[in-house]
Amino acid sequence: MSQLSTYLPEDIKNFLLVHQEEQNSEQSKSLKKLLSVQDKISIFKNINPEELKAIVYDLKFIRAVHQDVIIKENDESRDIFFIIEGECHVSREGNKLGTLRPGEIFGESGAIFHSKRNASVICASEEVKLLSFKIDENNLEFCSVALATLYKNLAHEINAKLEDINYAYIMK
Amino acid sequence: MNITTVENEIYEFNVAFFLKYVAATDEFAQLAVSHGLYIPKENYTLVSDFLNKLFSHFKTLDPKFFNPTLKKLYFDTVRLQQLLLSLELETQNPKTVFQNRFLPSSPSFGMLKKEIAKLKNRSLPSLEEKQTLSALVDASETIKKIAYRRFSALFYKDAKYLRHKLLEALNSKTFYFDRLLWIEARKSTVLSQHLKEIGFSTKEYILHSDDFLKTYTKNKNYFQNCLRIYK
Repeated sequence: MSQLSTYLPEDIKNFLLVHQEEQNSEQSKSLKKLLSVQDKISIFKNINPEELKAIVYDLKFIRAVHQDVIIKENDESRDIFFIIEGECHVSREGNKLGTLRPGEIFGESGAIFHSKRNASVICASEEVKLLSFKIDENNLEFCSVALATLYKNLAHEINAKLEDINYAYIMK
Repeated sequence: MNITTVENEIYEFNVAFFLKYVAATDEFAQLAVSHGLYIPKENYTLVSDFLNKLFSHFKTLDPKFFNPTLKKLYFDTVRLQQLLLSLELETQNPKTVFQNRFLPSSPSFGMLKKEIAKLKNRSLPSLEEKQTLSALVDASETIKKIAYRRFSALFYKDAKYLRHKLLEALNSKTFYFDRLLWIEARKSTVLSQHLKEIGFSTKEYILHSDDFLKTYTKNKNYFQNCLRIYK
């Protein structure tokens, strides 16, 4: 029972043409850029690179200088930030809550729960290098494993933060 | 009547019920395997409708705009969308499918029904016959409940699997349709002229459309979602 079209050798040639064009496309460049940093970012570990490309968007490398406001309390945005280099201060209503260091992430709760930013993050070093991105759930159908892994990695990071807070509280 | 026989009937019913969907997914699987077709991780099914309209628009602008592969891909994406919609409608209520289609087609339940009807039609049933009838009616209800549990488990599993496979086929064909549409557009003098200022990709075309459609929030959100595919 043939319900779909029959593809002839001429059609297959056209498919190969698409494959050739794809090699040089912008998407391939964006994947290469992402792959170059994937190993360095804990929340991207164990994710298939092709799927990783599909579940993140608005990937940007950001450079901030001392006192730059990276996240403003009560703002609405879905970006997640990963600190590559430098330190940031976290504050709420003017009170300093803590310091974020390289390898740490922030902004994840706004992205996951679509809530307003609950604190401000300000550049504390002379310069801070960050990677920011958003999570794309539109591709859930084809990347469910990657999305589950990303959320598991995020949960791991949140848990580590909570452990640090608990430790600091006990030590007081 | 034993449950293994009923299970076989459930299996055979499912095979027949999902036949057209299995045929379409098998056709795509053969094509994908034999020619190494790419199944993207990005959800190109989002732009399927947009591309179909764009294809018609291009044909209006350039009546000579024709490529057999493009036409086949257009036909297949429309067909796959229809199949997905039909699968969704046909599988949204398994209880109704079980009662209205499986039970009347099941030889085991047919025989049981006949037995019950025969006993019910006795003019002066003996006490023993009355007890047999009551036991048969109870047994029939119990078996129906067990059968429905098995039926719905298999039915849900098959429907979910086929939906995913149809979406994969639609996603892959939409991807090729998207890329080939622009390769062909570049070959057309009329379209080249038209697209000179806009650009030769869906992303650039959406950004152009987004610019004059920004007041329509629904379209705006749709286009924003589409743009994420192209990064």
